[in-house]
Amino acid sequence: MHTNTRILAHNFVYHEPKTLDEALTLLDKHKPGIKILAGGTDVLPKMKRNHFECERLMYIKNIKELSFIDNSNGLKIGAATLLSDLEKSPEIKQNYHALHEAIKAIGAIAIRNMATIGGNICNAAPPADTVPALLIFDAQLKLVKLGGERTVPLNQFITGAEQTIIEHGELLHSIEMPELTGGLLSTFVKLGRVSVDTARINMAVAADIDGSSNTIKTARVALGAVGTKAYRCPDSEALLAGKKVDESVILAFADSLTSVCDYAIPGRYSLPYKREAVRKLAEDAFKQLLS
Amino acid sequence: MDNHFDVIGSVLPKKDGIAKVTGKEIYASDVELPDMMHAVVLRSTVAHAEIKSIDTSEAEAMGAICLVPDDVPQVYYNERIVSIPEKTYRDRLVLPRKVRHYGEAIAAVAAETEEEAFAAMQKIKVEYKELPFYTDPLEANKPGAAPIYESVFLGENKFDVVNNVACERNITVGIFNCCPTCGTRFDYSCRLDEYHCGCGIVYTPAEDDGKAFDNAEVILEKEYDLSRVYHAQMETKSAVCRPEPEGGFTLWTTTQSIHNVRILLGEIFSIPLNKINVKRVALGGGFGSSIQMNSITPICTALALKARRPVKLVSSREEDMYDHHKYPAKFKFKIGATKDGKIVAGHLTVIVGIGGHNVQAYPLLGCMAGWYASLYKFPNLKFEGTAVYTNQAPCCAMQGYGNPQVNFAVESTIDMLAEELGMDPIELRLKNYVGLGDEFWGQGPTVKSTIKSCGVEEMLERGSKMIDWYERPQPGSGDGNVLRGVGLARGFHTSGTGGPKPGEVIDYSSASVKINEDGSVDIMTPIMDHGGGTWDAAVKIVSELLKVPYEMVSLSPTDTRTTGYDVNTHATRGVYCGCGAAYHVALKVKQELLTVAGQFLEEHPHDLDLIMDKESGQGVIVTKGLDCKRMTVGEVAAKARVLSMGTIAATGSYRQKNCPPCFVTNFVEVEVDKRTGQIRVVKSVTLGDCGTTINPDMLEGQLVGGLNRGIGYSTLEEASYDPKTGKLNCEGFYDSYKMTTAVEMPPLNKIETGFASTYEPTGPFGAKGLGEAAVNSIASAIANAVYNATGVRFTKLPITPAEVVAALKAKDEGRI
Ligand SMILES: Cc1cc2nc3c(=O)[nH]c(=O)nc-3n(C[C@H](O)[C@H](O)[C@H](O)COP(=O)(O)OP(=O)(O)OC[C@H]3O[C@@H](n4cnc5c(N)ncnc54)[C@H](O)[C@@H]3O)c2cc1C
Repeated sequence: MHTNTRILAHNFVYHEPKTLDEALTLLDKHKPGIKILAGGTDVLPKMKRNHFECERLMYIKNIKELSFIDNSNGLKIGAATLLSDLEKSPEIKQNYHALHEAIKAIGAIAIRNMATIGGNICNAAPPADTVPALLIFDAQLKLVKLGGERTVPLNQFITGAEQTIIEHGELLHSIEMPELTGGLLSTFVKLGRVSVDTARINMAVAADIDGSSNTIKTARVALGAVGTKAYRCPDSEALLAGKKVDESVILAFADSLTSVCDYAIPGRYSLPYKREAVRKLAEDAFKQLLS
Repeated sequence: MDNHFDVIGSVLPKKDGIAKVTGKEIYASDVELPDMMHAVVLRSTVAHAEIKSIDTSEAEAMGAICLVPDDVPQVYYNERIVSIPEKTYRDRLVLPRKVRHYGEAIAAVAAETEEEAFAAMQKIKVEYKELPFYTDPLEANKPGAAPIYESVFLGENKFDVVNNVACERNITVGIFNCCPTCGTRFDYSCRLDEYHCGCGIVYTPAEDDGKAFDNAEVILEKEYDLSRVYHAQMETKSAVCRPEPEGGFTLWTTTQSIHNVRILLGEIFSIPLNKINVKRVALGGGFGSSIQMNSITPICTALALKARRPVKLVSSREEDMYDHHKYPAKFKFKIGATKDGKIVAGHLTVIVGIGGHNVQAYPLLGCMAGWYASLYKFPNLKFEGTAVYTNQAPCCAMQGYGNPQVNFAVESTIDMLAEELGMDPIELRLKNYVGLGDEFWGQGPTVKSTIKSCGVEEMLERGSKMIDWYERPQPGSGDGNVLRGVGLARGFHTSGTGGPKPGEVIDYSSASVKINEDGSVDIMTPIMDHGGGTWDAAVKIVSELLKVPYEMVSLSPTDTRTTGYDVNTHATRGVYCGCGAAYHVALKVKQELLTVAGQFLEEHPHDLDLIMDKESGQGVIVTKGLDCKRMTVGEVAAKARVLSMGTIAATGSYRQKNCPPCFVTNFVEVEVDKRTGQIRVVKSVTLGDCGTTINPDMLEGQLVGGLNRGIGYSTLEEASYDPKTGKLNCEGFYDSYKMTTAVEMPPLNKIETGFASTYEPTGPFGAKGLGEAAVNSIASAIANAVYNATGVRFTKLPITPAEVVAALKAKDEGRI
């Protein structure tokens, strides 16, 4: 054993830039051996397990430009914004409710006080809780590097378990979601072994429900932790569209999610469990949406 | 019964409460000394290997002091010296020449700071010759498996280890092991493949139950599998050792027994005990993991002696998770009964994978036999236990010491038997339980006593009302996705390890009590407090006896120099045995007090009474019957000083000669979600029988804490190993080792506790223990409730969501 809770086994040079320019310069100069540290709630456990190595580590939570919530036109969030700050935002709670619920489901308060949304995305763990919520809001990610930037959709950014298209020298700057139209209700549901736990399955659902006819006009569904990355479920979305909200549609929705599991993780050890358990999430999601 | 106490049974501020909540309490890891060095341990990255070489040259070049196997005394020891030496297995050195589990300490380094020590440690080069390793006792036990040990010591005798068997224990009662033909009984203490009876018959005793089950009308045979679990005590093991100028050393360390640590270190380092002083510091929980001397303690000592400077060694959580676990167990249980519900015979077989060292497997197997023999009356009883070495963290006692494991096997089977017989589970239990006047095996077959207090019936009756037992559903009768069920199990633990005759286990304690010159009192005790209130109990008992107000009785800081011997705060003996000693010493002080007061009041001490004067809140000595002369305790003490009459004090040792069982009855209500497989305990009723309740609030805390760990044991906790790497799957991290938090507990208003109204005549003011009993039957009750909810019986712990989903699906589809 070469780890110790109090001492990191690796030596590295530590940087604490105060501005984005400074950070991008450092990233450019020291690539590829430099890595980013935000809240450290993924990085530190990995370092202690010897699963994360770097020559240099750059801490980004002192960079003011990376921490903001802007809801003037849609929603823009700085990558280094604390989860607990996002949790407190009344606009997110009101309009992007699934994201609010997803954040609340992460860790315990101490974790949310440290962790950032950018860290949750860039860590790209299959059960990352903000990802399904961001997927149903069609999130775009703004990546910046010295002398350049690009914007990519979240579903293209994450390519697999702990894999993204981010390049050396690049930094996630912000997350952008278009303004929501109509009366989109949304929610997030999660299943873990215990309450403070990474998800065995998580799911975000949004629906535009016509109040008078109790009919779903459109729906969006994203599933996480079933496979190597979270994804939208177009078949389930199509199934819900145009349907009246009742017991039978919820059952059909649950069936469709079971099929998604069968298709996504055939033969996997966890399949027999997940294809059943996801049915409970289908029911929970609708209960919450309608409450 | 006895409810006229002044202090006992009152809820009072814990003596160490303020220090703990303000962070002022001193634990071993808080000790800071001038000129102190800091140490870290180099731990194995392989599960089983010979150490070919350890090269410390680079580390030493950095100025570090290194400790390698060549530096430590070549003394084979067992870290737990609670059993008598003849029954103690010794297989380890302070640092080994062969690695037997991943994470085992192989070298240590001290430097000016922990960081420097760590940097130097990283420079040590170790060459291993790797060997096949085993994370499953059944594999390790196979003929031809690589030997984890060639030989070990039992007492002074060296013996060869065969098929990695660390020890065996076979115990029979009744007509087991009698020749099926002529009935001659044979000695079963050593297992035989073949037995040649004098009458000419040859047969296989291990497979033969003889005539034991002949009268059984119903026979059940079941198997159970219980996981390895980590203690998860709050404080990780720590030590600070200071060599003393005149030789010897002073030690501050995490332990449940300061005296045993001193004796062991004296033996290992050949230092007389008067030159070793082990300080009593606060203990951040134990769950049994510090009954034995912790593995880092002699390492820290050896480093300090080598460096000739104080050295501090604090384990990290990862290190701690690789240091000690609860014993896993695989059981086969056969039970036979008559149609009217009388148990005829039982045959329990267990195999335990004990990890890389034999800490206390022999007494464990004895205790397992005892817990089994003492739950129900088995006229014919057979127990066969085998402990097998594996390449995993050494197992040691953990809250219950084999009892939760055995309880799960027996209480699950008893429920099944009740169903088979068409009898209510409570009725079947009442027909067969071991209770008042029966023999109780408090610490295996050699430590037995007669039960003198028993709340079993009372608790079953009260509990059944509190949970609406008779309204519970028929097993598996619910529909919908969330199934509700109610379950019951009963258990117990011993209070201490004393019997009328001392058996294989050492048990006595000591105390000093003195009345100060103002009438306040100091108690000196060697016992440790895990946080459950043992020290407060000592204060309350002395306060009650000497009629000195609770606020005026304190515990002196003590160490091994200033106290007599105490074996350990283990086996739920803190109150009954440890405080029992304080009680008996305080009785002597009371006698002395009355004698001195008698001189002042010109009365014979027999004519004096010590009472609590409610008005003044002071203890007063009064003439018996008519209260014409009186003096307060303070007045007597002050006058004794002025007249140079000496201090009113006493010191002594005391051995309890009984091991009364503290009974617990658990009723739980669960909800099982068919789709997610999640089991939620939605209501719990726990009743405890600890005799007189000395610290009612602390007792309730013990019961609720036991519930918490029991939920974890039955549904979550598992220190599982990767059979490919020999590493813990959680790698020593809490984010992967799942435990029950407050959120997984039933709502506060659904956690009900209560106590039986019993009085233990042999205990201090009628008290016995409770701590370990609090966990022993929770998992069994939960599994029984899950059966009631689902109609499916789970016999493997933890019961995982995936297993629940799979089993319920199979049931719905008619596959089981
Ligand atoms: C006890 C515990 C419980 C947890 N529970 C949950 C949970 O319930 N749900 C859940 O989803 N997660 C959970 N996590 C994981 C973790 O807290 C989250 O993923 C968190 O959001 C990570 O954010 P961070 O700021 O701490 O990231 P860090 O650990 O600092 O970084 C994570 C990764 O992202 C990279 N990174 C960070 N910011 C940027 C950026 N701006 N640009 C490029 N790369 C970047 C880092 O280099 C690193 O690879 C838990 C963790 C712990 C320790």
